[in-house]
Order: sequence, then structure tokens, then C-alpha cells
Amino acid sequence: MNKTMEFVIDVYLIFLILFFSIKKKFHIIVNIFNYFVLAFLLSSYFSIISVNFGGFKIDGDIKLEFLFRLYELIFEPLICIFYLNFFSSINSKIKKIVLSVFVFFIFWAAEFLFVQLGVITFINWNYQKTLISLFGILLATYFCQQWFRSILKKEGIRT
Amino acid sequence: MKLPNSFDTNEWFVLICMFIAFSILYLLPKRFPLSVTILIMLYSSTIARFADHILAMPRIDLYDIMNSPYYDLFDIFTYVLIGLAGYFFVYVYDRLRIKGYWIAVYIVIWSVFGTAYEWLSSYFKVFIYKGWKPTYSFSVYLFVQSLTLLFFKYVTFIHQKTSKDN
Repeated sequence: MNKTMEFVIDVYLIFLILFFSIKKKFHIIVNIFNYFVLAFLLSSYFSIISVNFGGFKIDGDIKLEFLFRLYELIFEPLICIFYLNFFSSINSKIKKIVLSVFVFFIFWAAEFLFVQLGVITFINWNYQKTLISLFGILLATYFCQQWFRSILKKEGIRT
Repeated sequence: MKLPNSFDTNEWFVLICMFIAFSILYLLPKRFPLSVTILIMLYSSTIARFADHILAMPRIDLYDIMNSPYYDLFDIFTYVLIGLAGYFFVYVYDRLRIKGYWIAVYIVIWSVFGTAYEWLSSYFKVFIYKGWKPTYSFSVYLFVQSLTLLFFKYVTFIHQKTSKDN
């Protein structure tokens, strides 16, 4: 259990270092906006699916649940921001598809890990539903981002 | 998204507060660029969402929002209200040009106001405490409102700097 925790924390830290060291396509204000939108939508999504619909149960070891909470509130939104920035900065369609497949594989792998660790127990839920929901959240964030960028453009900020 | 099971005093309380808050927002002269206003409101709502998500989740379950443990439409309305409150907090701070130790006084006054409002909300069953106490909220407000001012300073700095650069 401790080894797993160490591993997950190391992965989180490496991702954080990578996230803050790579130059982003969008302006910092846009990325802050995206983070808040994503954090709000993702935390609402987890509440609706687990509490309202009873799609999955979140329990198991409290330390591992803490890792899951970090993932849903910090790392999952950051992965989405990473994706939105990269997706806009590359021109090749093939690269965009490869990037999308890679990011959705990360989402699947993370959820698979938490299911294997016993933090998430599916009741009437599955990985496909998660990926479809995340696609919807990403799409909604993208439209919000475009709207916010148009406001910044009017205020004289190039994003 | 669930709708409330019954339309009680708590739903009316939230709707009346929203009406008052939006009226104030409408009457106040515009002070910040729209993007900064959006960020301040979004920040305040998301911080509240974080707190509720962690403190009201099934295993910790320190309180419920509205009548049930479910996430319903009126939960979203409470976050809209908190977003507006965050905006008013920053608006008055900027309008009065508060500086020095007055910042601490200002944060304490707003924390007292926030705690009193929360107590009033709990009276109308917007919050149903199961272990949480309004006095805990006072400490949370002290921390969060300090962060709000820092966030506001940072965002306005970046906004002004980028506008000049462009």
C-alpha cells in the first residue's frame, strides 16, 4: 500500500514539474479560467455520478482516497489544461488524434488504477461512460474557453 | 441535475438572496474589466465547491446543503451567490482603497459577516450541520478571503501588464 502511494505521489510530482516547465499555448489568465471551470465541472460530475446516480462508490483506504481527491480536484483538471493547450498548438490532424488517444488513455489508466486500489467501486458505471463524460466536460470547457478568449480579445489581451 | 424534492423556505431564501445580490450587481457601477469580474466570481464559486465537495462528501459528511445529501440545482444557485459575494468583497476593498492593517480589519469584518450570513442560512435550512459549526467557518473565511485578495491582486497585475504589453 505504501509503495503504491509513493509511486502515485511520484507520478503526481513528475507531472507537476512537467506541467509548469512546459510553455503553454494560451495566456496564463485563460489557463486559470480553464482550471476553475474544469475543477468546478469535474467535482460536480463526481458528486452527481457517485451521490445522485449511485454510479460508483468511493471508499476503501482513506490515504488512497486522499490520492483520488488530489487527482479529481488538481491533476485531472491540469491534464485537461495540458491537453487543451497542446491540442491548439499542433497543426497536424494525425498528431491531434494521437494526442487525444494518449490523453484519454491516461484518464482510463488513472481510473483503472483507482478501481484496482479499491478507491472506486463501480455499481452501474463503466470506463466507457467515464470517457464519454470527460469528453463532454472537455467540450464544454473548450466552448467556455473560446468565449472567455473573445472577452480578453475585446479588452486588448492577445491570448 | 436533480430538482429539489419540495420547495421550502430554504429554496425561497436562496432565491430572495439571489434577487438582492443580482440587483446590487446591476446597480453598482462597473469597476473591473469583465474578464477579471468573471475570474473573481469563478474563483469564489470553485473554492466553495471544493470545500463542500470535501467536507460534505459521504465519508466525512459534516453538513448537507439544502434538504438532501444530493447535488441539486439549488446547490448550484448557492455557488452563484458565493461567486457574487466574492465579487462584492473585492469590489468594496478596491473601492475604499484599503491598505496596511486596515486590510486585516476588513478581512475580519467580512469573515464575521460571512459567518453571520451562514448562521442565517442554516436557520433557513440551507445548510444542515452534522458536526460542522459556524465558528469553524470563521477560520475558513479568514483564510479564503486573504487568498481571494491575493488572487485579485495577481489577476489585476497580470491583466494590466498584458494590456500594456499588447
